Amino acid sequence: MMRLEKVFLIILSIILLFSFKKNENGPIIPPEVAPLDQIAISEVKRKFLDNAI
Amino acid sequence: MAIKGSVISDKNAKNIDDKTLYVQQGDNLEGIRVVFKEKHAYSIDDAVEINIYNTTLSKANGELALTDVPNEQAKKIDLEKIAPQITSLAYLEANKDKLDGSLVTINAGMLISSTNNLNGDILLKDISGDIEVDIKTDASFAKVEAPKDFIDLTGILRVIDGKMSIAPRNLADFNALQFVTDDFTTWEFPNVHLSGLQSELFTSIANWYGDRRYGAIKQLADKNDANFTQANKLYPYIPTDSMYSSLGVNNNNKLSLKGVKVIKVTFAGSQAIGYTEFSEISRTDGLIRVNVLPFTTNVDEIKVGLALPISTEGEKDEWGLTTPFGQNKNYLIAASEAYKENGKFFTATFLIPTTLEDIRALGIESENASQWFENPIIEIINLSSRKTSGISTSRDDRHIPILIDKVEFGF
Repeated sequence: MMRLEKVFLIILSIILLFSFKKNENGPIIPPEVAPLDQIAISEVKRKFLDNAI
Repeated sequence: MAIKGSVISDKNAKNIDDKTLYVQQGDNLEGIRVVFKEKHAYSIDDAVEINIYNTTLSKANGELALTDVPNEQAKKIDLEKIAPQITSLAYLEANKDKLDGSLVTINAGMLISSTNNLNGDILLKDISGDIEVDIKTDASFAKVEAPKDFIDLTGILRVIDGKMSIAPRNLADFNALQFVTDDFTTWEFPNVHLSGLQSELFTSIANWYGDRRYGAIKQLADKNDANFTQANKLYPYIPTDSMYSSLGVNNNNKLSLKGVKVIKVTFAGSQAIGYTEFSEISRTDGLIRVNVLPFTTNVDEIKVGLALPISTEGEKDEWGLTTPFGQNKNYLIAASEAYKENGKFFTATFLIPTTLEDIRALGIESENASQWFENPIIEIINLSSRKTSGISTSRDDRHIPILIDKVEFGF
């Protein structure tokens, strides 16, 4: 029984390790979840014309 | 970052592909073309929020657009109808970067279609120029016959490689002008005369005026004009081409000229000949005597013009003379084509300026020009001239009297 628990813990650790590794690039936040700053369409166009975007 | 605005394009009428829409932030605010990765579901007047994270802003095919927009980055938040900015081509040309991708209405334009339908090469001409009309071959209205008279055309202004075009959304964007016609058959004879030199030509439609010394005056048709006129109808005659001679109308309580876009004048050269007296029927003190020379068909020219009296700022005229400050100066805005036959009615069509840019495009520099829109005055003038050789341009030789059958005002 003790042995089985150890094996289970090892497997769980490996799974957790891999899942953390997967997030090494930073959390992926879905765009619709993030609070969105509003930008005026005129500002978008102006920035394009000014090569700022 | 996100943009918010209302959808101004109409996917249902199919004059736009199913991945693309135009969104405008609000009335008189800017708009932009948005191209999604997949077909979108947004209808005209849907208010949307579009997250512009990870999208591309570029001049795709020469037209500024947000492209590669993932569909899940947009959502409908409300409904809001955008009112088009009412304008003319001269104004659009001067402001095209700002108005690119927004909803506009071009006043009083005439469509010229290579197929007579709403497809093929289509141009819209207005007072200040012309613009291409974008209609896709599979648009729901592409097989409809093109309107033949003046329209106000609404659509999305597109600027592609610096060149403007307008994309109507659906058939409701084509609006025929409404015309008010004065056929000079409903004369009124007010008891009170206008000031001494004016002749009043009041009808139930409008209060016209002239000058009793030079015209216009109203009278029964000259006996030599009987073959093409109505018996017992009083016609406005403009016997001379004097600078004082015109058939004028101002903004009055019968006819508000504010917003007039088109005027059609149906007129003819009189067949009067020899020593002729023209007389305002409601006055006993007005006689205009003209010695009318024979009309040479295909040589002499019958022509009318339209003038806008605008008060001057004391600017110099074409002879270098200074027009007194505040005095009205007649700015000729257009002349009809020259007709070389008298005794026959022709209709001349004039486009009226609807924006200050239109007035400037006509070369009228007066700073007071914008006041004209508040109180429009329009004068029809006789620009006929003799081209027969051997006839001088002296005041006795040159006159070719004209008469007016009807005037139509397009709003």
